[in-house]
Amino acid sequence: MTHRLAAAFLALAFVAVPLGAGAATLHPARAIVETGDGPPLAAVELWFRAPSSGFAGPLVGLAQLAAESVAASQGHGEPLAALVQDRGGRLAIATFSDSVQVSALVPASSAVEIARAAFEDYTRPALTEDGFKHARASVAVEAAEAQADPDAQLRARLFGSLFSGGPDRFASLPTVAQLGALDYGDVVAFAKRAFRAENAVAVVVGVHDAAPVLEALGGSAKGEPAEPPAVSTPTSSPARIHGDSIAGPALGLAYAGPPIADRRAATAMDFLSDYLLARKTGTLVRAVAGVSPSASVGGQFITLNDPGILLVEVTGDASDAVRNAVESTLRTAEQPLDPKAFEIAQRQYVYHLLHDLQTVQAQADNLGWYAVEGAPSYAPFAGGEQGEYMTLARGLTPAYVAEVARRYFAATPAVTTLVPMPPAPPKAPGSAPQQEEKAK
Amino acid sequence: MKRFARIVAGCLASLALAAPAWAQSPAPAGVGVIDVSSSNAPVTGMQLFVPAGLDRQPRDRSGLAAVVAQALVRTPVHGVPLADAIAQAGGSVTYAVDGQETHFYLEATPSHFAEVASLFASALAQPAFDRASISSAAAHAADRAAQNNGDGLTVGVAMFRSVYLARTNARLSTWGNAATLAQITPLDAADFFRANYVARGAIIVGVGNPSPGLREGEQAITRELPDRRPSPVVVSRQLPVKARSRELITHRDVPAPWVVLGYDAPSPGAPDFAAALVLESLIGQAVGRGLAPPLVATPSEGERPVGSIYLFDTVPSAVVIYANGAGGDPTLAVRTVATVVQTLTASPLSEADLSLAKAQATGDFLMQQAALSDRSWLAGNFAREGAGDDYSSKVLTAIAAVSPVRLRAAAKRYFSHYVTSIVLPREGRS
Repeated sequence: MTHRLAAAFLALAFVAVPLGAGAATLHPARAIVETGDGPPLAAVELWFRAPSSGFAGPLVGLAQLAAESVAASQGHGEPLAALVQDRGGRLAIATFSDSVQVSALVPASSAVEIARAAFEDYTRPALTEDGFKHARASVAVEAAEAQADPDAQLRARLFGSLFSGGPDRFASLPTVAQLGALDYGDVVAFAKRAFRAENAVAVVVGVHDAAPVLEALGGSAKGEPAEPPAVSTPTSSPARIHGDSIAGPALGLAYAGPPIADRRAATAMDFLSDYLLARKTGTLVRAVAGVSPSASVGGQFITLNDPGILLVEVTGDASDAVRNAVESTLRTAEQPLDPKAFEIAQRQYVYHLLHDLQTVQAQADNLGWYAVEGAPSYAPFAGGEQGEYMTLARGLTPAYVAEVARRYFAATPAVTTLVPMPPAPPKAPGSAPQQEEKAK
Repeated sequence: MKRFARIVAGCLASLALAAPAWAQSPAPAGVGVIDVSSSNAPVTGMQLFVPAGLDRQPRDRSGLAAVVAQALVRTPVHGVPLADAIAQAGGSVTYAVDGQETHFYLEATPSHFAEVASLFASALAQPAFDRASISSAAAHAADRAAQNNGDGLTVGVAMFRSVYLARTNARLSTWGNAATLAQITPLDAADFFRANYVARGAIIVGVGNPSPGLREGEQAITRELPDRRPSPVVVSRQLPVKARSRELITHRDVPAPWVVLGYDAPSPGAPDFAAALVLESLIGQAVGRGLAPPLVATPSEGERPVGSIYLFDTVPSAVVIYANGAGGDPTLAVRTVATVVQTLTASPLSEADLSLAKAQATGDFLMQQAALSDRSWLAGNFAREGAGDDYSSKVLTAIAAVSPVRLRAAAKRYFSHYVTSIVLPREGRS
């Protein structure tokens, strides 16, 4: 009898948990609305400044689970996930070490409705048991996909090795065991703090008229998210990780780079990242192809509050030959390029940057990312060719880029090598679990 | 977005005031020019369609159109292969070979677009079809053919096309095969280029940032297209297969089985097009989302076990619905598709359900235009198919006007018969 009562009570408690005060005058800390004259397609995004592993302690995957729980719950009408699809749109939810992104790509005619619904659902969330359960099943699928993704596997281990503290140390998606440890109370507490209106940045790109969108968002403030930027501490001697993975052989390196406050250096790192890692033209890509045609090279400089991170990822081959090619090519970047080579590299870098900003989704991602990192005017899409970023990009010199490479490549990088996971041997009774990986 | 098409010959007089260069160097009569520029786009692009498609290749030279296109993008310009020269200038060039045409997409920063287009025009003026170039291009085509053979969806669609487009050589595979590629000579390439890289039937679509370089680029490229008709399409006496219960089965080195259902479909200019587009979205995309894992976010293409493609580029047009065995039992997916089609043909959808289906079709159609290369490709295809200048808003209006009765009629007419292509893993693979 007691059990049935408790169950009934819990069921009631799960029906709908309103989290916010519900004031009608709420608005995001910053609202950015860009009109467009392309196809009538709009990107509607909310960004929140919040650590993926939670505010109180490392609860890996908490932000993702909370963000998905809200989108799956019957908040103030149809759940946001269903509403976006019913309007012909696509919803995406991503969490990064220090931020949460909720993104809807919708026909422009639905942008106002989706902006209003998303803002209300997140800043005055009403979580439901069904929503929480749906989100948990969804995150489990995503976590399983990440286990088979060599880039995700490399990144998780590299970040864990590069940082001794802070949210950058942890993956955004949990393992099955970590997901099981997250309960409804954790999600409610996180959502209550992370998804406050004053901690939000709203970005809408592609509408034909900005005024109705701003009205739906409650106004056009230009402030900073309420939470302070997350702080992660890089270690001076990152461990070299050797492990195995179902995702196959892979090699990764990660360097701590300049903070976003040092914008000139961060721009130089973007240049270096393109010069080394661009898909067809990158010097490191070509060097690795020379020793291992089957290997695939990726990576980027991730502009973050402090520090930024340069990632180099090679999948398909983790041999010594590949590692030597990577390390020797990185060393060449420490010498200034000759003026002609630099001019070509600069043209390619600017083109790749602009090419990647051609869709409304990419433009909203770009504006949202830099705003939540505390530098909205530094977003490459902000201000066009005369904007802050493009001005810095045009002003780079071979000597300065080489100086930045020397400054940041001098540190010991985090290095991870993954080999394919061997087939599981038949279990012997009482045998100890296999050691997953070891640090050397 | 400004959208208008113009036939250059008919507009020379009015253009003379706005753009004297055009008047000084008249462009060939047949080049259709379409503008889908948008002022806030960060880059400038151009899609050039030439009537050098699969359907103009001799049967024993399957892969010739691709070899010619590949040789063109590797043609040295000022001593550097064209694609590399364009990259160094701050741009890119890609190409694709379809049934009716080969199309090249050029893109660059607005300030460098004219330079990039000029490099491309130089290669058009003097393409390198020497023995070494053709051999290298053929090797590239062979690599691509091998890659495609490992992709179950590509193999399944190619099987369907081979019987559906049987009337012409548009049925041939894009990259040819080892036997036909080995026979392609420099003379074949030069002849094919001379015959089919021509103004009549060519279309240029300007897209993205409307920089002054876009107009200069259009002029530079049209000047290199001689004003004559392309060679005739190669026809065959084979009849297209559209019969019910026809199954094509093959084995390839793929990790999981694929099932591809091919349907006859109206072309973009036809009255039933919008209804068929809604059905394609409903049957392919909505079923795919329904059978996907229980994600909160919208499942991506790779996460959906069922998907669909409207083959706008083929003549006649077609729709394929595909099931990926890696995402679940493909026979379950096919049964679900059959049930949905049965429901749609049995009675008209309610207005509420139709409204949801239209919203999804609208969203899917708009998302196909998100990237500039796709937007310009669609614009060129729709123009060729007679859908008119303002194709996008016309299609959106037509989707909104689809009625339950019309949708049911289109389901009965187009989705009752199909050709099934099955791609199975070779023995020894699970």
